[in-house]
Amino acid sequence: MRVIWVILRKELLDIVRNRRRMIMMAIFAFLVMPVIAVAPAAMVMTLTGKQAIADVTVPVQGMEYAPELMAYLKEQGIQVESAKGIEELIRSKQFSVGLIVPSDYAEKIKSGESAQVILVKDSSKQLDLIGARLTIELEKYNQSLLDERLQKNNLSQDFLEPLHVETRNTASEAETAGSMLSLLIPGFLIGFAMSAGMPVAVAAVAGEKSKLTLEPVLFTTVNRSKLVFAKLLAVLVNIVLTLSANILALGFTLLVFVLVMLSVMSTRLSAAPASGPISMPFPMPMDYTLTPVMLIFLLLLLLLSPVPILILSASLQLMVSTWARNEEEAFTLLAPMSALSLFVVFAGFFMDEFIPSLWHYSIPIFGTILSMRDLLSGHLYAGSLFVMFTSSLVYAALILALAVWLFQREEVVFRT
Amino acid sequence: MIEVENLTKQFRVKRFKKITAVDDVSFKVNDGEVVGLLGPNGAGKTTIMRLLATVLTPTHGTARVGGFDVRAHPNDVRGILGILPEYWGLYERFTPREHLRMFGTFYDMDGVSLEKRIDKLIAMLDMSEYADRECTRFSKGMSQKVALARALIHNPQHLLLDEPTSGLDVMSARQVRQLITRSRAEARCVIVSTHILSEAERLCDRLVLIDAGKLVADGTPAELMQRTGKQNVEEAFLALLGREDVEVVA
Repeated sequence: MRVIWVILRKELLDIVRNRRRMIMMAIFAFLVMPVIAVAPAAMVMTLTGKQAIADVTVPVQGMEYAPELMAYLKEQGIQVESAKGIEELIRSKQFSVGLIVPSDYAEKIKSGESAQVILVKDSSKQLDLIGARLTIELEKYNQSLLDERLQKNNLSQDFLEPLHVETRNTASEAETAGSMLSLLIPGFLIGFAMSAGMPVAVAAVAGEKSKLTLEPVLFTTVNRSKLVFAKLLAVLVNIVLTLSANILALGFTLLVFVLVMLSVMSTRLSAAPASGPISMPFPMPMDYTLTPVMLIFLLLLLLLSPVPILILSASLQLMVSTWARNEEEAFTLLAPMSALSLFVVFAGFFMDEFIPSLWHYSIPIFGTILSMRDLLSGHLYAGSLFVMFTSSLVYAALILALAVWLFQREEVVFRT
Repeated sequence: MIEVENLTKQFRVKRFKKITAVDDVSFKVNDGEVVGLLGPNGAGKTTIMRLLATVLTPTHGTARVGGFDVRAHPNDVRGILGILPEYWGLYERFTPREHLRMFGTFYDMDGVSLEKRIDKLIAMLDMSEYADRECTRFSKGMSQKVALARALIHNPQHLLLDEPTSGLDVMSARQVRQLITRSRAEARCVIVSTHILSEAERLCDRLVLIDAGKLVADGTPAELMQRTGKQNVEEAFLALLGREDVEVVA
């Protein structure tokens, strides 16, 4: 055990002492990631906030034909301004949206016909919130006119909706969320395991071959199986530590995100009370209707379920690293394997109609996705979990045995 | 004692093509004897060293180190051999002391005895100034000393030294030569692979000359000079290799 610990310690110290790498990791996790996650959303929110708060002015051609409509828009915080050549005003970017009221507007409204207003806008503009807001207000005004006409003719809303279609969802909120998360979480974990484990696995064997540091170790009495096992542990520890650091960073990022969003929202709420109800811009957590004990048990299983696939992934990386001549070859060989793993993850997106059998849980990665989907949906199938855990661990053990076997072969160890 | 018997090593280079790196080589190194393994580049010296170190397995023949057969008891052989490879293979982000501690553990050493051994080697090879500095940017000489200390950490019975004084300054080279002389006095077998013929002549009791994987000559420097009728080892070396036409370009 002492030898395994010494090798593991050496591998981990080698990572930690790589100052450049550690600094880059910290910068990425605590600076780049929050900026990438928060900046675009914050910009959009700030912009939407500004556009919502701003005293919006819309040029209108023929406003004299629709005084009631103009009064309604003013009430809603939209200033109207008499103008001519609306299309030119929009094209020259002086305004983002404008209205044209035809001269027969009042007459048609009065006679109960359908009157027309023309909304002029520039569709090439990506974020046209003033246009969207104006459209909503016009639709609201249209609805109020409709209500008036129905009332006048003693008709109810049912008159306009002879057939009402209601949708009922048989899936619980947890199942719906589980279905989504079961695709995202394994994908994230597998992608992460591949990217976090790869540099360590490659450096641990192929890198040592290139740097000629492996041979002196092989001159000693150290057992090669222990050597491979210690290196596997180093890859796994690195994956777990990096994953933990990134989850921490993700938590930090989410906190920053929520704080920024709340700040933007509060500014909007205080500045524009008339702009209607504002919903939260991020999804609320799942609402599991399970007992706390069951929920904790499921969460524990959920945390454990990707472990076999992480071990399998680390073993595979180590085996490839052992086989490879050098670091470059190891990375070249591992890249398509990562792509293949992600392909299996993406295959999950097309399994809506798929009813898995027990053996499907023994397919590497796919079995993990199925198990996580079950757990995230609040279902606990002991048999399928057992198949997934056992099969993944058996695959990992077989691959690790192959790595040890390769490590014993001189044509592989000295294949530089 | 190190005994090499009809040692042969073939490598497969393509599917049906093999090259013979070491071809039926036999020689013996007695306890307390320093033997120089000489030969041009690619002669098979490093392959012989690796075969003795048990990281390669012979295709034919065998070798015994301290009575242990390299095929049957590789771990016992590794336990009594100290090996200085041609390329030192140091971990850049580790200090010499950490190297020695780690390699000591590989030989099942620990505790006070390991620390004492480390201190002794650091003092013996005059490494105290940089013993606790990471090996990044070490000079050739400093790296060579760390690798040498690493080879000696378990106080091995026999030594295989590949170019032990290459790149060392005069003082360090002298220290290494003293170490080899002391090992001889302590009845250890020492095999030194070197290109420095003058050093081989001065240090070694016997010279084993290898060319294209085959043993060309085995004898004391005086015997080799006598056999070729040459005045020094360098000329004898060239004569034995059949390359007397090689001229020194000033």
